[in-house]
Amino acid sequence: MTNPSDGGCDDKSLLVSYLYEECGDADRARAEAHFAGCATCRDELEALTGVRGRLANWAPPEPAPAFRMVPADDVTLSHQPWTWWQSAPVWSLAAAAVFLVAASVANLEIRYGADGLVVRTEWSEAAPSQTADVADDAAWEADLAALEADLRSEFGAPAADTPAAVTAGSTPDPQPLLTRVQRLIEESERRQQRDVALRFAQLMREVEVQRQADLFRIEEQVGQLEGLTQAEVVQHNEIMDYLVRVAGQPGQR
Amino acid sequence: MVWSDEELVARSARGDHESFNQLVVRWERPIYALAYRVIGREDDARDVCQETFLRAFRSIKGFKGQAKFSSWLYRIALNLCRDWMRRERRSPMATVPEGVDLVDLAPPEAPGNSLEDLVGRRELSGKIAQAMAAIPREQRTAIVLKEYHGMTFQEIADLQGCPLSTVKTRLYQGLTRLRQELEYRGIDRAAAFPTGGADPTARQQHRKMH
Repeated sequence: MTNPSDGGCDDKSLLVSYLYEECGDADRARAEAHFAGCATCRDELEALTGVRGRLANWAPPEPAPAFRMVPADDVTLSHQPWTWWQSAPVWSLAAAAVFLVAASVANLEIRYGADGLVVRTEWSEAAPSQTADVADDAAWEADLAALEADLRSEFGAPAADTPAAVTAGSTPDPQPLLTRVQRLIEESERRQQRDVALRFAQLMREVEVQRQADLFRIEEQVGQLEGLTQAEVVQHNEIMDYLVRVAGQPGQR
Repeated sequence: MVWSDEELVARSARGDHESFNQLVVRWERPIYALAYRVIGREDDARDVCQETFLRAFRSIKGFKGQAKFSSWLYRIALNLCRDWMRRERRSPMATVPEGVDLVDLAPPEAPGNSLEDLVGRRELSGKIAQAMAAIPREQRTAIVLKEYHGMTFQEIADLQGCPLSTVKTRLYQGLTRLRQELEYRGIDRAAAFPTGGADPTARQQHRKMH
């Protein structure tokens, strides 16, 4: 306060206090009395108010950062800090295990009938093949085809002509054949388990990502609401005061 | 259940990461905005914002409520801004506390606004940013704390560690200088006030909520 007695042109402290609405009634009256008689200071006040208005247009770049503190173990996954098996509830893991076993039993169909031995998996085409699986699938199917060809030739007569002639007793040595079938069945089970696990992991991951996103959005909005309250009060005060100031000085504009 | 900052601080001090994360959610935008407006560079502002929370997390046990949590956080951030601008700390950060780290969950792109909106605002924002960059840091900091964080003269004086009268001087000189810089960049004051002082950031946040 360089000139506290009359709030003269040199009293920039008073000008700033008035500009930011941070002065008592006495100072306010003093400032207004001075502005009423001093065009220079009035212009300056108006100019600085204009600068403040311009500043309102300065927004920080989006998106704002959204940091979260996580235990260091999870950080290896960087942008996906929560892995499905860490966050999945126990019941879902148990359900998954049951599902796995059920799938490997229910969807594996083995028939030994009039048209020979059939090993079929319901899931083989439903599986959403990862690229790595394709070669694997091809090899497995080739094995199956080879087995079928072997069986047909081993049973001698063309199966299509005389299916009834094929009997279990006509096979001389079933052991190597059974081993091969066993191997194929195991192979099939392994593939199914992997498919199910993969799909389950995928599902859980999607659910978890969505959950985190929802949670984050909610938290963010709550945070913004809280942060806004104060800012809005300040803004409203500014607007109100500007209006009051403009309304109070009709002849000076 | 919404906890106060103080309650969250107490829980964080007992090692509850989630409580600290709630503080982060609450304060990361203001801290980022503060750092951006003081430093003027987006990348540095992100670094400072992250570093601010890492430091806060590290020393939260030592924070005994001698000040408001937000003031404490602002002080950390402002000190970092000062260091960053002196370029003493442009080297990689080495203050990640034992056993934790921060991950950035921010979406890679800004949510959809109309392009004209965005370009127009960026152009104006850019000019204001240039004008602000042209004034001394302490004046700029005072203006940022006053204009965008609604602080009182006294709060700014406490944060800047200077007398209240100095804060007013900084504000006056800063705004006066800014006025010249804006006029020099073709932003005339005649068209200056129609925005009514509304913060476009706040508006945008409003929009995102609906």
